[in-house]
Formats: sequence, structure tokens, C-alpha cells
Amino acid sequence: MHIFGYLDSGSGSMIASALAAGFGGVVVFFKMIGRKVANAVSPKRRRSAAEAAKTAGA
Amino acid sequence: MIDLPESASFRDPDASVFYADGRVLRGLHARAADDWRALTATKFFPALLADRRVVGTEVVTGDALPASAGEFEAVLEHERIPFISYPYEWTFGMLRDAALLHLDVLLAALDEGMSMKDGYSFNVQWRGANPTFIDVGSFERMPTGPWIGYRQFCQTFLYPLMLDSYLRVPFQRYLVGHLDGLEPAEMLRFLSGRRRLRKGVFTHVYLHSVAGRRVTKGGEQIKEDLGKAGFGAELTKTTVRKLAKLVGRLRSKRSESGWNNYRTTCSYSDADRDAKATFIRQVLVGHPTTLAYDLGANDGIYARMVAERGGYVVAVDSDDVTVDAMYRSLREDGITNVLPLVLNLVDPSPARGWRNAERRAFFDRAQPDLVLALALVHHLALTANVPLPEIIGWLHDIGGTLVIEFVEPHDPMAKQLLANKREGLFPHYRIDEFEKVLEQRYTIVARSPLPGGSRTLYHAEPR
Repeated sequence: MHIFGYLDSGSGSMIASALAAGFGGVVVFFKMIGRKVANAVSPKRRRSAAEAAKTAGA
Repeated sequence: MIDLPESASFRDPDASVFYADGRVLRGLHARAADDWRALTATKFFPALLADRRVVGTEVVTGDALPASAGEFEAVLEHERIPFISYPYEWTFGMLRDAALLHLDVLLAALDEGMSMKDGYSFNVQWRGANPTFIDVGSFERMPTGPWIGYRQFCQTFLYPLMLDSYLRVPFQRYLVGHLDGLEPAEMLRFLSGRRRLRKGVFTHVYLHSVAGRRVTKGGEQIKEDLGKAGFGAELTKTTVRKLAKLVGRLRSKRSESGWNNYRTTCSYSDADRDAKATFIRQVLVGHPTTLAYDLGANDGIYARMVAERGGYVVAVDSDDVTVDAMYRSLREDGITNVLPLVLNLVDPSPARGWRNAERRAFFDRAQPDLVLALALVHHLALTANVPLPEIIGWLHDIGGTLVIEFVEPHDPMAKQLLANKREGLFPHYRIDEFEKVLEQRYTIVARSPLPGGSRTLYHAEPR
């Protein structure tokens, strides 16, 4: 389930905030990109991500 | 007693601030009440309350509960702030100290598994020259991913400070027109060429702006994705520590020069100054003051004099550099009941925000019982061309006992102001005319010409 704040954090702001943490933030940023790429190319991971989203929405 | 909602407290649906019988209350719905319980179980929160870096807060129970308490799961009562001010009335030093306080409080929260819902400069208020964090409803149990208030912090704290520090542009005039502060893309346009090499600009302005343009996915989704990829409390703390280091290093060259001048030219031995001080002391005898305004306070010497006898003084001046020097000196001397603010009296802070009710106009916020208008009338009359009846009518509308100084046209300062204007432009700017106008609205209790021979002080009570 997504828990939204009352404030729109801003997508670019979240990325800038992560990168502002320095080396550790950059590593996490690329890890996030890696996970996205893996989800996009692997049918199995894509299915499990879709199922997870469905469960969260239920 | 009817409970009155605070007009600026509507954005967070989990909690709202309201007033009842002069008390400042915060009603918490279920989720905010859970956050409050988590907050009270921490070690940092009582410590921040004890050193007054967070506004005094207590749970209200039993007979003390207000009429609307039934709507909420819990109700808190806050200590009242003597005078509400806004970031566009603060100096560079005040905004920087408020930013550092906000980050310190956030770091303390992050250490114990809590975070904050926002990073807004309006979360800080002042007790004299001491900042205090007032938005207790901002604390929440730590969500995953980066700090949600980062953008707001940049827009309302960091960028205005950078404007002054990197460009020597006073930020007050921008903030009064933009309650949400400066957007990253807007800030980037100010910082062109070599300025992009200044500390913090690449990450907090350039990357921030570019990422905002390129990434269209919702901020919450990105935050969650970053959290899943391993962005936890430690990395958030690293971001916040780096921000604090950057903010702490920012300096205003304009304010530094003002501070140096303040220390070298601030002389208290001038005969007119001594006579003014004696006159004000006489007025203060038998006039206990709860709230005083010093309009055109300059170095704040008379504001301090009033404050010495108790009460709270709001000392305003239009020159932010002078007010910043006053702020520094008040902090150095540990004076806690003089609030220095930047205010152009000819163009004072207006009502702002939703329905023009979120942020109140300066003169609608309180009712002073004493007003000092020293070395002020000639600036309003001769520089801004405000007619004498207008000036006196305005002061009468503000209310309270008035201590006012009239500077005659042959005074060197008045001559200097008149030199820039057409001759004969102010035929009514004379002491006899001033007294006539003053007596239409006030009773003159005492009158004292100063030794210099060109200035006169009046103690006047409103009719």
C-alpha cells in the first residue's frame, strides 16, 4: 500500500535528495535503476511486480 | 466559547490548530495521534522541549478539553508565541538560524526512527532572537526513502539564503510574493555561469531542476522505489548533515559589512540620544508594557530600553542589514524579549495565502500598548511623501501610547532628505502643523525639545 504524505515530495526532488547523500545515495540510485531494468526485461519479475501491485491495490 | 480554527492550518488532514479562550490547541486525528504517541516515547522530544527548541506542548485532558475535542483522538496545547512573524520579515542570519534549527530537530528525530512531513520555513517562530520549532504535527514515524520535506526546505530556506549569499540579493521581497519559495528551475536561472560552481548549486539547484524536468513519475513512487533499493535513515541523515553543513557555511557579505559598521559606529554617548533615553524612561514609569512596537528601530537601543522593564518589543526597520546587526547583538547579549524584523513601513507585509487569510498583514496581528516612532516621521513625510495627517491617523489606528519624534526642516538629516525634492513641496511640514495634527487624535502628555535644537519628543495618549 502506498502511504502518501499531504505534501507532494516532487519526483525530481526525491532523486536530487538521494544524490545529495553522496556516494551512498548514488549507489542506491543506480540500484533503483538496475531493479527497474531487471523488472522490465524479466517476464517472471514483471509478473511478480504486477501481482504485488494488484495485492497492494486490493 | 467557540473554537476558532487557525487560518493557516488546513493542509494536513491529520491534524489542525485552533484557538479556544486564548489557548493555542492542536487536534489530532487517528494517524497523527499514533505519531504523537510514538513521539512522546522518544528521548529527543522531551530534550528539545526542555531547551525550548520546540514550542511548549502538553496533552489536554478532562475539564481542560475545548468544545470541539470530540472531533479528535487527542488534543495538545501549545505555549503561545508572543508575536507571529514570517520568513519574509526575517534577516539573513535569522533565516539561516531557523534553517539550522529545523535540520537539527530533524536529525534528532531521524536518530530515533522518526521523521518530518515537511521542511517549511513557516514551521519556525521566534521568542525574541531565539528560534523555536512550532509544527509539532510535522513529526511522523519514519517512512522509507528520502526526506519528503527536502524540496520545501530548498525552496523556502536554502534558495533564499543562496540568493543573498551568492548574489547579494535580499530574499525578503521574493519570499513575500512566493509563500512556497523559489522553484528549482527558477533558482537555476539566477545562478548562471561561474555561479553554478558555488557550493551546493550543482546538487541542490542544477540536479534538482534537471531531475524535476526529466522525471515525470510521482514523487511518492520514486521515494518508495528508492526506499526499496536501500535508501534508509542513515542515508537520509547523510543528506540532512550535508545540508546543515552547507547552510552553516553560507554568509551574507551585505550583513557582514553591516555588522562591522554596527560595532564601530554604534555610539550611545550622543547628547540627543541620552535625552531621548531619559524621556522614554519617564514615559515608561507608570506604563507597564505587554507589547511594544519600535517602528524604525535602527540599532534597537530604545527597544532594549523598553524590554529591560519587561514586556515584549517588536523592533522593525526597513534595512535588513541593520536589522541583522541588531539580531546578532541581541543574541550576543542574550536578550530574549526583543524581536527584530525587516519591515518597510510604507509597504508593510500584506495578508497572503489562501483567501488572504493564511498569513496575516503585519498590523493585523497584535495590539501594542506602546508605540515608539523615533526619527521616523521625517522619513515617511519627506522621503515617501506621506502627509502628516495620514501618518498620525495610521499611528492612531495601530493604537497604544505613542512616543514620537518630530525632526524640523532645518535638521541636517531632514535637509539631506529635502535636497532631493522640489523646493516648497512640503509647506505643511512644520512643528506647529505637526502638533496641530497630533492633537486632533492624541492628547499630548509631555513635550521635550532635544539639546541639538532641531528635534522634539512627544508623549501622546490616543483620544
